[in-house]
Amino acid sequence: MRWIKEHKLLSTILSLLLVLIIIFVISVIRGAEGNGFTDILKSGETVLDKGFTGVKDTIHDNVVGIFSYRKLQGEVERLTKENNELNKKITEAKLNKEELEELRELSEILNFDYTKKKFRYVSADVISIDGSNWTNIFTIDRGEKAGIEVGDAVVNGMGLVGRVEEVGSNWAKVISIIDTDSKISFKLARDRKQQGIAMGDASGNISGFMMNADSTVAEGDVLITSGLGTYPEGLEIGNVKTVTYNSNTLLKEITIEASVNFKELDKVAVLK
Amino acid sequence: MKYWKATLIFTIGLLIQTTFLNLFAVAGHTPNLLLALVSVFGFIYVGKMYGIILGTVFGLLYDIFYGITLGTTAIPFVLVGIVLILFQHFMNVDNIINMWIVSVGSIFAFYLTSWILQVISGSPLGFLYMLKRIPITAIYTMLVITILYMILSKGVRKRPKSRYFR
Repeated sequence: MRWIKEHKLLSTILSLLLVLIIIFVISVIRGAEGNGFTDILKSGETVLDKGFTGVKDTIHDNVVGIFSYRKLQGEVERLTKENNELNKKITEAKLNKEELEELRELSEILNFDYTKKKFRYVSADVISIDGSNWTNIFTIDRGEKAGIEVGDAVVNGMGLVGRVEEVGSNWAKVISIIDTDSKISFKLARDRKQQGIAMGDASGNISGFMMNADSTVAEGDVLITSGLGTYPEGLEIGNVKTVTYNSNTLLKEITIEASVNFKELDKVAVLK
Repeated sequence: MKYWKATLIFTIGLLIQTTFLNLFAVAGHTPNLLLALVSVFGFIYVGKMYGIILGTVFGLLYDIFYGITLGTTAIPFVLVGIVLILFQHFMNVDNIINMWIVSVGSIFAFYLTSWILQVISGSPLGFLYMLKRIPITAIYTMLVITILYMILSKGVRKRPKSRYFR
């Protein structure tokens, strides 16, 4: 006690450090489970972040618009051309739709439910991104109230984004697939028997390996989720960038370029 | 500086860190604004405990808002705060070179402690991977520290340890 009285400052700092270490240990044991207090804090922060993100997006859109006028002009021309082609495809698709409906009727009669799996989407805005440079966690503005649960898959128009790690009343933390904590079971889109495991490396790339050393995986192959583990089947992950054979592990190792541009992530959908 | 002003600066820093700073990412790296604030506040305000107190509060808030395990940011901030208080006795806080020397130490101390805590909490981050990620972040954070130092040191009494001010 006498030592504590003589070294008040040091005692206070050491006590603070001890409290933090206890909090850390409890947090490691409990995992990412939140509580009422953290939920209130996070909800308040979500409101502030939304405002800041709105201002950021306005500045970003205007500044980028000014400096990339030529690029945008080219983009408009490309999109116009693409639009014309898509219109043609819609006409063709209308014809195919009738055939598809006939096939669906037939599958119902035969009790074949492969094509029946449908998801409910909850759309959300990305309001803040973890800036630690190591992890790739971001926060969205929808939570339990919108029916979001821990483990739900998150996608955007380009493909798989990640999974919900923690959820509050009106917010949810999402771990992206490029995070080092993220592991995905995948298969090749062209040959669904060829499967593998991929994991993020936080620098925007995903690396992985094929389960079978005789796999015919090649650069440019599109990878989709296999349906094993956290993510539902058929979500696009990305393209194979490089393929190398590791003679030590006797496995074909690959690097993958994610379909999603994580640097410009603003809107996502949570699959239910 | 009064505590409420410092708290306001840290609050804005926390919000900027996770929204605006992503616009200025270089090769996927963004400066660690909170670490920069802890370093500058902890170093230039002699006799105050800004680094430790605000580092603890905002480190914990950061962990609650964006982290998975509580303490992985707060504990390194406290350690950085302690190191800064110790260095204040040996270094001249009016000299920017001293600020840079202290900053390099605090950046490496922060990331090393943070990495150890992340590994304990089950993260697969490798040591070499961590070392590879630090340099660009450190340079970027040093730049922010320099700017913050130049702004904030203007309002600080010169040579606080000088006998002429006693």
